[in-house]
Amino acid sequence: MLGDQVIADGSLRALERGATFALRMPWYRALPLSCLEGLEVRIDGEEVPPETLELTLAGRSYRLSDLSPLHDTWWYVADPIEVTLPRSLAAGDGEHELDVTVALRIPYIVESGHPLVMRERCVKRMEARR
Amino acid sequence: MSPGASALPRLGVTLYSFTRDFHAGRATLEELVARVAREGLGPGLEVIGFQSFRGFPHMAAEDERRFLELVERHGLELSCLDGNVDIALRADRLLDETELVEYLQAQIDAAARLGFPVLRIQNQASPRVVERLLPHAEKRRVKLGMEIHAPETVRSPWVLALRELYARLDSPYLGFIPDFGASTRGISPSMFEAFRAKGVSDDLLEEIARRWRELDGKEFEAHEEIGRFIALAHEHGAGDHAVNLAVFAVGIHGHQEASAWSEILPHVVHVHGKFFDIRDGREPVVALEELIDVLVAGGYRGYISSEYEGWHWDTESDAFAMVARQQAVCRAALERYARSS
Repeated sequence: MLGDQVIADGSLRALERGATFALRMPWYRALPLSCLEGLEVRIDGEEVPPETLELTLAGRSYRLSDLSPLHDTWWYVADPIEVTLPRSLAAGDGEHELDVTVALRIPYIVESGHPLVMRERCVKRMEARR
Repeated sequence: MSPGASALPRLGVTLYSFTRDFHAGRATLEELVARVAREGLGPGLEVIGFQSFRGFPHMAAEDERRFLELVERHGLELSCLDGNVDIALRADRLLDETELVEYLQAQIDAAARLGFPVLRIQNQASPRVVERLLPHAEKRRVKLGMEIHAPETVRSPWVLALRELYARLDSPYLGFIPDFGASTRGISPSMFEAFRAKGVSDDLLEEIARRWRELDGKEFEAHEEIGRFIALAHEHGAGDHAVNLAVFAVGIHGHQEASAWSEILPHVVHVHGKFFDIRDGREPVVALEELIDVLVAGGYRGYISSEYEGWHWDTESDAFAMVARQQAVCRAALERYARSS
């Protein structure tokens, strides 16, 4: 759902070390961080190891492996998660291809005891800002 | 409002219709509500708690005050607050019955504080959970509205179990919310057009339409059928589009006859006027006039809340204009009754 809005337009930034982009909720409503079951990021065709991704929401930072117990920490639908990846980009070096897949558990759609897990992929090309 | 008109269902809208604008940051909650009023899409206003309110169901008192002021200023009427029955909130296990009851009591409280007459609930609330919620709902004077959404019908086993419970408990605080998307005549042509434009083959789209028609009148398990549609889409090379195609085809386009809603009408507390598109003055797959006939004939006098869902695949159309067009069709259908009464 809303796959085309998962990477916020123009949000790629080059940092002193690494890069960041803004990840948007691929669903219509707030969900707790425990529902974020997976995040795969490729930049310019190269996979970023998931364990190296850092997620920042409301001033707190998490690794993907931290999320499963966080059923009381809400990701509000209007708020982006800032994702930091350890990949140095030079601002002004042209467009980069960002390829992001999010796996999201939908906590009210459960069939035979198994919750629905939606996978939403978004690919965008954009320049990195400083 | 004239006495004649008040004896008919009233129109309104759910802000879910404008999800794409809200999600993209093109409009705030304040702006959505103001535009609903300005364009005459009320008077009913329905809101999804977990979408419109930060911190739901434990919102900041200041946010609640501002929302109520907003609704008042624009002369809208709160029709329904959509709750969610998040039984799989935790990653390690499903919530147990007591945890789910407490989770939903907080949402009933939020509805009561804001003055919503109905809280929408979903089918992960078992009859036992609904029964345990009832005293709280009665105390807070909030009706529980169980949504019946595609591909479920008034005869789905879990709906039959609730109908039994409702008959036994006989409380005006227990009800259903029919979603018009449960009774469609086919898959929306606008969906096929959008996926064709994304490069999905005509062969696959025709096969999806054919398989969908084969489900007419059949009982099936939603997840099994969605699984079959996903496999079919993959066989045809639909790649990243496979899951969305299957979920949209099976999960929001239902097969129930419009007339079947009459079986539960005395318990209907709110209606989701689901639609996907309006062209040439009609919704191609949702029989709006027929559905309205069924509601009126069965004595329904609550809100028909326009719920535009074509935004999943139609990223261009103005959702407000879509709702206005759908309400024009609904209004014309209702006016036939106003004239004849």
